[in-house]
Amino acid sequence: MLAVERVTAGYGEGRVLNGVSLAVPEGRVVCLMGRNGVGKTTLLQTIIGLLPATSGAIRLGDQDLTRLPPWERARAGIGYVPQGRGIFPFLTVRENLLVGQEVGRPDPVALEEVLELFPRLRDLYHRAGGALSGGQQQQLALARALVGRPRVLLLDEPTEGIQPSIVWEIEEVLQILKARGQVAILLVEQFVDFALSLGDYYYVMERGTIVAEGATGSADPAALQEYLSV
Amino acid sequence: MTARAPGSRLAGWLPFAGAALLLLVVAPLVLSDFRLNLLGKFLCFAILALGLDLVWGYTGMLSLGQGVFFGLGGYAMAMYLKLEASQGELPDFMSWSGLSALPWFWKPFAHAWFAIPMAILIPGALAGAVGYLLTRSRIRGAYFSLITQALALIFTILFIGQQPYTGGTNGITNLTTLFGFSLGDPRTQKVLYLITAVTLGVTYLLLRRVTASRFGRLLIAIRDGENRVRFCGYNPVAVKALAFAVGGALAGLAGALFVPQVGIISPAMMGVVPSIEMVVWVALGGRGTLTGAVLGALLVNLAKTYLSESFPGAWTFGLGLLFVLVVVYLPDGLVGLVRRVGLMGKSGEEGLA
Repeated sequence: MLAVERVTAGYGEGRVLNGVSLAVPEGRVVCLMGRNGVGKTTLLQTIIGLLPATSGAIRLGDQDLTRLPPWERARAGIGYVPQGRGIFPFLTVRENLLVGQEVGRPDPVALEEVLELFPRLRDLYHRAGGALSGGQQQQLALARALVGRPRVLLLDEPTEGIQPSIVWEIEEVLQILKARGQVAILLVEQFVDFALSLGDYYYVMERGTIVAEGATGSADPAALQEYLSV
Repeated sequence: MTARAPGSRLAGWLPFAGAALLLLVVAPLVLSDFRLNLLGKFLCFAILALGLDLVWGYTGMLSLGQGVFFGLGGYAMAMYLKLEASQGELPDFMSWSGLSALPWFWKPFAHAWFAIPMAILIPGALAGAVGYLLTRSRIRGAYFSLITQALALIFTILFIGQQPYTGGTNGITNLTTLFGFSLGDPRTQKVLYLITAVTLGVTYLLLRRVTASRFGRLLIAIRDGENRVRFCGYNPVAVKALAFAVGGALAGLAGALFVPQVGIISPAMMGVVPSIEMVVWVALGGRGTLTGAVLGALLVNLAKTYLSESFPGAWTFGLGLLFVLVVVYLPDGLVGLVRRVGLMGKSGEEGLA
């Protein structure tokens, strides 16, 4: 479904991605692991279009996204949950979710489905986004991406700095999404157990390229941990 | 921003109705002709402040060039009034500057049906174009402010330099009548005052609807995270350009209403200093709240009038002091202060935006 082919990208002169290729098949969960600074977030930003790819191609289904601006990629079906949440602090939970749906095309069914997944957000519905705890904000960011009914969801370290009980809730939601199989997920994660329990397939990045990949069933957690330890 | 409690709808209208009564009935009865004229001028500024609040308070674009749009609206109106005052002759400043015929671009301004819409459309279109070009190049924050400030400087220099066409430093003066009614007649001024007050009320209500709509939420979302809006599926460039165009158009409207009440428009009213003053109005009142923008424009100008009547020359110090105090102690302006006090009184209840 989502295919990244030999993509290079970077900031100004500095190249961060050196020909990254990966694939996220329909309805599957693919994990991307690697130490800090190897280019995981850069790759996600290149996929969503906040950074231009200097070469290579990004495809969603049979649509070439490589040259499209971010908002058209979002409309093509890519949902993005950035690291550090990135909710709108001065909008209420409800308004945050409405922004997640396209202008003039509200989808009450999708909204209701998402609130079923995150009952906590229903209780906070008219609270300002900025007044939520970190874990609640993470759930809101995930919900905001889901109300737009994406075909692929990009998650950038959704468990980082969040209390364990909410990590568990988020994992449960991701398991439900995986079981439904309606959305493919590319999960950036440093927490090996979390990644292996959710993922169907994994990639490991080092210095801007993929250095290891495989099915999670056959993965050796100790060997993976080796790649991640500093 | 605020939860709409059922039943508070009617109560929400009370302050508006009170303000309307005060401005439309009480003020014309109580104030002298001179003071009423002054208030009319302040109400023009309040219209501009509403537009600036949409641009800055809601969308996060700090414009230091709002005077340009105000000036363009004012000049469009003044060109019409000048041609009416010249009664078919060449306007006086043109003959002093050596022109022998009316320049082509002045000719259509002899018609009110052209000049008055242009007073809104020209600044609106310029603001839209500037907003589009700047946001398309991802220019925002302080850089956006600097470029808009440069715009104010450029236009001042341009208007001073092109004396045969603009009246130079003096601007356009000696305006006598509007649709045949003498501008010196207190009755004409009273009507102009009432038109301004009604325009302010209508602008306020329209913007209240806009800011409460999905579009308004999108503006706040852009202010707080432009990139987040991008990957949520929106193109912020068009939205920001539109908001800036509305702000420019409202500044132009304010300028057009200002000129017949004050009788002059000059480059001094569109430059860097007045543009900064406009920002202070919104900052003092409370950006991001429409009521704050209106209150700020009225209060700062009231203070300016009284200070400069009693201590001429002290105003610029007063303005500077005010700005520092607001930035340090009242980051949300007076409306923010009132809200905070209100919250302390009855905790949990939110104020009305």
